[in-house]
Amino acid sequence: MTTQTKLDQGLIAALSDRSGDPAWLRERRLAAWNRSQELPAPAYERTHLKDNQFFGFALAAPASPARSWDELPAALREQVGDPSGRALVVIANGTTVYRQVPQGLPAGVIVTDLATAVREHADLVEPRLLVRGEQGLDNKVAALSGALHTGGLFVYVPDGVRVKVPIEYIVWLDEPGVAAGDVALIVTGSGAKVTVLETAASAPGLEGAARFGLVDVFPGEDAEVVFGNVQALGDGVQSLVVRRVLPSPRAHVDWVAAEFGGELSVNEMDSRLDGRGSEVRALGVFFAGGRQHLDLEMRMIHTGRETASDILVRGVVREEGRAVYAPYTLIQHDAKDSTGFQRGNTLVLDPKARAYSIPQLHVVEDEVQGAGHAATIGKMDPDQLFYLQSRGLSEKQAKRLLVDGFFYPVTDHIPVAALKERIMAMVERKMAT
Amino acid sequence: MAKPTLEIRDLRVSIEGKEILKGLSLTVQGGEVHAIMGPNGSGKSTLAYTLMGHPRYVVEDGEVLMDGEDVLEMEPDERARRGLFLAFQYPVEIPGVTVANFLRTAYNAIHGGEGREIPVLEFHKKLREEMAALQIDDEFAGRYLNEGFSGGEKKRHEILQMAMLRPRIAIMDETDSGLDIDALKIVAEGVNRLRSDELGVLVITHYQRILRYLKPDHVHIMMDGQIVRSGGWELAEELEEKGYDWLKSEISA
Repeated sequence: MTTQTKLDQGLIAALSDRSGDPAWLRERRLAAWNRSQELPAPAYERTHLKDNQFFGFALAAPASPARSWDELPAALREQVGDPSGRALVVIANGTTVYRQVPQGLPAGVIVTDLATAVREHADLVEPRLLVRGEQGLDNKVAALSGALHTGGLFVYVPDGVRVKVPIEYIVWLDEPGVAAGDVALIVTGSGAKVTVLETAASAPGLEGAARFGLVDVFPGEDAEVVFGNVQALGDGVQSLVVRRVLPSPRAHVDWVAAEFGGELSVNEMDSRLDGRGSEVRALGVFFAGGRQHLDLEMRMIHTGRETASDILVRGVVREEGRAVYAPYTLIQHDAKDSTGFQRGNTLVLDPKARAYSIPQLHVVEDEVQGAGHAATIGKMDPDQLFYLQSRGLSEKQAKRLLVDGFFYPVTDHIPVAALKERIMAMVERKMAT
Repeated sequence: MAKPTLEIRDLRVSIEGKEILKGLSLTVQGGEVHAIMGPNGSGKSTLAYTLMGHPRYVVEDGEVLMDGEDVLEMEPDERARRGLFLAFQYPVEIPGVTVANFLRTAYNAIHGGEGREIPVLEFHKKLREEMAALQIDDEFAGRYLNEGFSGGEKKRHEILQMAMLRPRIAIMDETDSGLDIDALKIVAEGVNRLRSDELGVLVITHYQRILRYLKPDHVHIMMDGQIVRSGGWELAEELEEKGYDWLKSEISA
């Protein structure tokens, strides 16, 4: 149970002891904590975070891993579904509680929890954990996630190895009032291929808990990486997560972001397109209802030549929900022959719902292949509704069909069938309530 | 099932405060085809939308009864479930929703009911048959509703829906507009194939050409929100020959 009500350095030091950090990690954890104190809240245009939203939480109590699947909380098992045959790492309130890897993963592939990776694969982890090139921990959310993390995911795929089965990372919260930090580190060799699916969910009725997450993806040259996240936390939970990718030359990355849950959620996805010829495609789906506030921040920073980014997002707001779609594309000087595109559409279902669309596109380099953005915010078309109703569909059925159809241009492009199904099922669930 | 009856009694309808229908009465029964002809702006489309329940049209007075029941109290979907159908003049485009998915949802809404949905294979067999009859290509089922359809495809799609949903009273709002002669024949044959004592049809048109294929039993001329003259097939022919101006001068005389 929780004993403290505010995070402080003493707690972070105790957390480091408890986690058995090696010296280098202890140093980085405390440095990350200090950065989280020094840095201002990220300057999100329409989401203003207060100090309390970073530090007004207690630490989660230590948890021991489950010896078997059946020992996990029932609500968690229900959320994840049948585990058989899947590659899973499950963390609850920040601590790794379950891990399973199916037979037959190709040789050299590592799928484990982060603490184990720190002990057993320091050669792979140390150069990349809580550091990121010259940028360091330049973001308050990333820094705090690094300071707080007890559990996390580590994935490594060697050169030329293609992993067929999606690796699943489940982030679960069921302790009220606590802040849980987690870090996922995904590293691939050249020509490797891997899919990682993250799902965040919480126990029904959970209040006042917060997730601080950091995902760092390092695709090797010519690698193909899909990273998808489905944020399905309860509406009393706060979620601040930074996901970053630094693709090597000619790597191809598909981001898929699906934001459905949380009282307040910011999903910041930063892509640093530095490797020549690298490509990042970001697909996003969001659905804010009730009194939710969801913010999808997608950043594409082109510094390498012949790099390509594409952002395609669709979202729905209803009741008193608010959602922010804020894509940012920067094609830096010398990123010659690059392309950067953004398209975003938001559907507003109810008069008190609010949608904010803040697309930004900056092209510093003169010689680009193409760049552009388009964003719309609109209401449901009464003539479309009438047409469907005139064919016998109830208003509710008609709206569901129209919302499904609205999301289709994004869901149709989701490259992993299981992820597409989960996202469409979440849309159904939101529409049914 | 008993013969359907649609009774319109002294219907007055306005849009944004302007009265468009000014006391219109008409009864359509199963087995009958009625044509309403009239110049632009006479209120023909207002009648069609009002019967189907579009929220923009305000009924000021009068009654619409289907098999004796008050239609005006019903939501559009309830009207559809009672067997009312409107073939739209301008069918709306709905991206992301396929023809097959939409039609199956609609079919189940009207004929299925809870737990009695049509099996998917049976539905697709039926859909393919009806599409073949209307000379619609198979790939059509996977396309998005009206998106990128040509004018002729949109109208054929409306008749396909009518064939699938088997309404009891069908209103066709200028289904002939924008069709070339071949498409017009296909559409008219599609409607003729559905004719029976269990279907009453109300064809709304500006021109007489579709009527040559549909051979209505009753022809009504509408002007300024009212039916000004009713007759048989010969009335349409007379109108074709003499034009709307002839009728206008007749009435004002």
